[in-house]
Amino acid sequence: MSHVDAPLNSDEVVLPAATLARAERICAAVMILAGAASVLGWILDATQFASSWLTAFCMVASLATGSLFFVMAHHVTGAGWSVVVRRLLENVTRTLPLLSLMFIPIALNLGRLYAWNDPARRLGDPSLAHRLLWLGPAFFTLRTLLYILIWSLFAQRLARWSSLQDETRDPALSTRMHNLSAPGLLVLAITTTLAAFDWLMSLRYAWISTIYGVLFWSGGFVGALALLILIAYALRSAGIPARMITAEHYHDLGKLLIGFTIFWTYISFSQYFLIWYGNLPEETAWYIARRVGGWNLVSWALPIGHFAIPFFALLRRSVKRNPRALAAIAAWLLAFHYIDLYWQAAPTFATQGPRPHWLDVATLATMFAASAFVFLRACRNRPLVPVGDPRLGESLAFKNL
Amino acid sequence: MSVAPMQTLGAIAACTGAEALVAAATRLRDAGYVKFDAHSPFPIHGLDAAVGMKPSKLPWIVLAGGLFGASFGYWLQWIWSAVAYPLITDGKPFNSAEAFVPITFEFTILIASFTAVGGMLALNGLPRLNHPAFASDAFARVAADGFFLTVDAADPLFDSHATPAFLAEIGGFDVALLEEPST
Repeated sequence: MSHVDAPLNSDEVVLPAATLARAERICAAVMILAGAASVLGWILDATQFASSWLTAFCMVASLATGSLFFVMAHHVTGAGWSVVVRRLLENVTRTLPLLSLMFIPIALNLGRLYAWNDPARRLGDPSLAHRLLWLGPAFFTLRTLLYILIWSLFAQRLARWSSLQDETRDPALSTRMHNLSAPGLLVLAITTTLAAFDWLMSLRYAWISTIYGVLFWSGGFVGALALLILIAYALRSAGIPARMITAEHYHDLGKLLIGFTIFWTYISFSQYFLIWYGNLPEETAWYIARRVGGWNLVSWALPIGHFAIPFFALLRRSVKRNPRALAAIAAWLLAFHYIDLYWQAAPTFATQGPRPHWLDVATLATMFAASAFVFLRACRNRPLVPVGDPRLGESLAFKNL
Repeated sequence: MSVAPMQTLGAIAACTGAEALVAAATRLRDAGYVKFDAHSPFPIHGLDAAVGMKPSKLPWIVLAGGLFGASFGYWLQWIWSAVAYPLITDGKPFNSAEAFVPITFEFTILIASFTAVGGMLALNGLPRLNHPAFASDAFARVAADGFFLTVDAADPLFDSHATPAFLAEIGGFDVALLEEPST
């Protein structure tokens, strides 16, 4: 139980500047080292680099959009319990503009990544002709930048009003955030669906799955929840803000984590099930490519590692209320979220089986370090909890029945 | 008409309010009583702990029900599709795990839900037509503004003299024995 009395002063709930500076230096060092390794990999093996970079890009993009979804869902539902963790999520969404920089290597490698950009196929494959209206390098790049711009604007606006509320403590700002989030969720749903279609589904342009956008979002939301749990756990030594996030909040995050792990399973299986039953060659080809060689093992690892193990691990109440145990499961699920995206992207390039490469690690480390740097910068400028939120007291006193 | 001999079912005491009820329940629990209950017109924070309520066994029963439902749902489809009536459908194997998933899932939910409702009723001792506390006329006020403690006569510490005295000592008033004619 927390014994912090609201209202709080802003300076009570910030991280020590020295801690932040040290963490930022580590992130910058990792970003530079891993970034240099990625550039070296680009020179040595451009196709492997492009494949690894795209997977890592989808990973950070899914986590950032998943966090934006959480923030918007929080505002739309007028949630009380999650006020203490909302600022951490807002800070994750501040990494969204960074995606436009991370997209540059993808834009420069469209020919290596996407078969629809192959001049020979453009002339030779009649099934591609009508798709070229949508799948062209310029339009593709423009669309992605537009998605990122839209997400960044929503994230920036919500974070700014939230900061403004820290100072003014004006409850009317909560209503404004609520009113922006309702249409925001709709726009976010459409743009993430299109982004998933563009980035991952178009890797095999002849393959269509209408549920693919939901699949991408559900994986991303599980990842965002796992990331939030890990950030909260990492902050445990940070004094007041950490003491605000109690077993009650971990319990609810754990409930959401198990719920959306089930939801991801439901969506993943639905996609597989309909394609398996329909048995149409242009649809089953996607799954057949994931039954070749070692990919078959990954196809089995996903339902076990991304569903069965975390599902049974998260069933017990005591596990959800234990920050250490919950953080361990969150780390496990975050790893499997990456494996899920790897399983969706990489078979296009490594057709005979998974080919783990040091570039997978280097590209992911580059993007995580860069995102963590932006996240820490956002933490530096603002209190770690929205001190002006009228529901903060409710969140601090929150208890599960 | 002969007067039937009375049978003691327990003891009852009223409390002045929610806080007094929690305090008195805590004293009862600490004194070693196990078969007692607190009654109030609304839920009270901390009362569960004060009456020494342990986490329910229901989740484990529901888990068993769910696992049984999953096995039974799958078995049912396997026995008719692969053993009793092996018909080729759509070129799929007789034992098609994919096709069996929705029904297996539904059976898991169905049996787990039935177990949850049935197990909850059984653990609560429901349905029951009478309760020892109904022997007290004052108890009717529990639906409006009454706060009551009842101690079951089956409690190992129960004594028809010492228990009412203890109830009065820990803040109870209108202490009475719950009695009904024995049959």
